[in-house]
Amino acid sequence: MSDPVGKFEAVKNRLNDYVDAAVGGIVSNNWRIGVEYIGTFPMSTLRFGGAQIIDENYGGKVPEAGSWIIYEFSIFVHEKAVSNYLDATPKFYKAMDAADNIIDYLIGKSEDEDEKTDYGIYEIYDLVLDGVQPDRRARNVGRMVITGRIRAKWLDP
Amino acid sequence: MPVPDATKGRYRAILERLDTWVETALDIANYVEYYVTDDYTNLPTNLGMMPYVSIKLDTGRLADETYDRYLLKDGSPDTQGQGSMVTYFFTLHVYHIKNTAPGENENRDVHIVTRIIMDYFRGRDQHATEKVSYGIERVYDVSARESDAPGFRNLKRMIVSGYLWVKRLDSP
Repeated sequence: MSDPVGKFEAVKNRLNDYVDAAVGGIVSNNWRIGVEYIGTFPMSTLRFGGAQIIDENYGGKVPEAGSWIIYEFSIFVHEKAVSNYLDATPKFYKAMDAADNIIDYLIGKSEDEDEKTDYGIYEIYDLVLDGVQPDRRARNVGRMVITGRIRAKWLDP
Repeated sequence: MPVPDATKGRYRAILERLDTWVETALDIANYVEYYVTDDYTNLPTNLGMMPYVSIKLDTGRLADETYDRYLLKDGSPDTQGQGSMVTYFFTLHVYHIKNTAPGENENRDVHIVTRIIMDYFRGRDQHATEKVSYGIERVYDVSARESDAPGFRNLKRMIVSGYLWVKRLDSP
């Protein structure tokens, strides 16, 4: 049975949908997977970090009785490198573009009315992107890391 | 030529701009056989191709709550757009071969290259072209330090780091 609106699985699945819609390819919740074994790109792995319930709402109102929950998430986006020996194009530009496409998509979904009503997701914010190469076994794969927070409603049972 | 808004402030666009800044600075200073790369995991292998500069664009932090996502597109109050400001941190690894002239500082040549690059970067701060065409509003907290270059006794390295304050407009 799926989690109710705003709870762990529902929000994680929605995050999975966002990445899939933004860049496609493989989207996996198995963040331990090794990129050197992957043949299909882009490949994105998703992870929830901390999830904290906020009872004090700072003036933000949950529509029904309940609290806000803040999910911290990270997305690792992998894409193939290109040779740039005599070219100004960055070697890992595909991963960079994919990461920015995901951020654009997340921004578009933040404060979207449908997301609020259907999935309990009210805000996606504190977005950070970073270029972090995988280990040396996968030198021809570019990796970008996106982190951010999702504010969702956590309704009382 | 102005960059379309859809790419303004994006990670790749900013990295390419940093690449252009370094190359332009070295061109102006009449360096011929330099090498500039964004592949920061590599070390120079051809000591005849110096100076060698590797660029890493590091963390970009979006600060959309600051302006409620309303930004001026090109500096004109009549053309508002939606987006966020991004703080990018960058590092440059600047390599040059050791100066072997007797009685002189071994790091002299890498110092000179670093100063040329830093001077050019300072000139890009609040530059009209950077603002309008690339969304780069500020170049600040630029610093440099000496650092041991691994693996080569006759290679000298300096690391330049700093921040960019960049406008990132939403995709149309």
